[in-house]
Amino acid sequence: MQSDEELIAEIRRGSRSAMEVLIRRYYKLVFGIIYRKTGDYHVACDLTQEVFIKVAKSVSSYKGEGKFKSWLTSVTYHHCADHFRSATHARKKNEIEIRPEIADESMNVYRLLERNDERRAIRNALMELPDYQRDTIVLSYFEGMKIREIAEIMQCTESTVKSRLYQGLGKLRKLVKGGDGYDKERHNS
Amino acid sequence: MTKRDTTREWELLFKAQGDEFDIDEFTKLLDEYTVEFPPEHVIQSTIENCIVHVPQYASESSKLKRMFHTLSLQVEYVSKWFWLFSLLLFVSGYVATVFDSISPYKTVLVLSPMPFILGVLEILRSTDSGMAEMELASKMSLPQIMMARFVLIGSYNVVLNAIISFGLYWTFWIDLWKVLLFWVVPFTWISSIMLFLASRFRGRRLVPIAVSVWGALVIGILSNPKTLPYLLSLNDTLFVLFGVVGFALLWMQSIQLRNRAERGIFVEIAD
Repeated sequence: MQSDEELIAEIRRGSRSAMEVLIRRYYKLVFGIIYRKTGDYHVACDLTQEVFIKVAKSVSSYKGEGKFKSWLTSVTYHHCADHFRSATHARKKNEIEIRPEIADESMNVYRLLERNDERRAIRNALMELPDYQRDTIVLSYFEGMKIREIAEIMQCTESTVKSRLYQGLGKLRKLVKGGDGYDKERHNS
Repeated sequence: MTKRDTTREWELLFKAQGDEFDIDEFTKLLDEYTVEFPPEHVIQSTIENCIVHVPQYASESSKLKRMFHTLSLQVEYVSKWFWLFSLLLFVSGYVATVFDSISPYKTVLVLSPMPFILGVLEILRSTDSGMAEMELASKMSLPQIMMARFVLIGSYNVVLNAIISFGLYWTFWIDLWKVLLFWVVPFTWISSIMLFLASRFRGRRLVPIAVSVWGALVIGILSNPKTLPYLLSLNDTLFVLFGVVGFALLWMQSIQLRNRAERGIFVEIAD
């Protein structure tokens, strides 16, 4: 399997197939970050495409300092930040993103609804957090990035990242517990 | 979905704060927030839309063509008043030197950084709609646009300085090497200072302030009749050294400018 740096070198020489390989390799990473950050499936699809277009255009600016994955995460993060800063952006806080699932004998309707409730609770709780806390949680908890890497991407100190992570997870815990309690009460009634 | 070593990072944070809670229950809850990834046809569509943007460089000659195309595009977008006013400034300087008996060394010293001072705002002109359209039309990124303008305006400054130097040399038969050194040093130093200031301070007032400060400085220095003979007596090696340092500073500032643009940090020029 070719390394990221080998693929980058080929892309710089104009190889479109290398670009395809790179997109397939990192599509889930980029989509996952954007999806959890925005809470919107369709916005995540659009922004993911925009991120990879940006990568294709500016691949020459990747200097090879640090891992490509970190650089890509940084591009993704900053692109999302630009999206949220745009005047036309409107958040749909109460919508739930559910993909139509193929019927599976092991899942009944009630289980699907239960899963949706749990996902909705966590999604809504994440959306309640300030952007900087949500971003830190997405990168640290869900994407498994180290605090040092997150500090480089967000251009802040490690202690700031730790503070955001601690406060964000603390708030998230309270919001989810409160929402979870509400949902359980609704199911039991 | 979570990695144990980074899970320990945030766990350690809570432990350090003395915050005890059921971490396993919390992580089990958070792990319910799964991502429903798009189907294959969506990913394929993304690939098809992206691969057309992969730059196609056939050869070194096409790279050069592309570079010239980039620069020629920027000529149209930089304000016409900048080109004209800079040229008039140097023509006036030459005429004044010939007819008013001003020292040619003073002329090149005063005029050397002027086009760059006037043009620095053109380099950093913000991402208004015109810039965004240009970016889409020419498929150039903001850093590429800014660096192209930097090269263009810097080169124009160098060309004007070179032309007036040769013009004064042929008119007065002065020391050409000395004249060249007399503009290289202030050009490189003032240009790097201007780039530094312009990338950190907003506002169109920067240019008139910079022009006034530069004007006051040279008038103050050159009003002393002993200054020019002193400068002319200095060893050429010193000028070369200052010129090299000035060039290094200018290079560093241009790299920082490009890096800031690539990170999306650029100055919005406000009125």
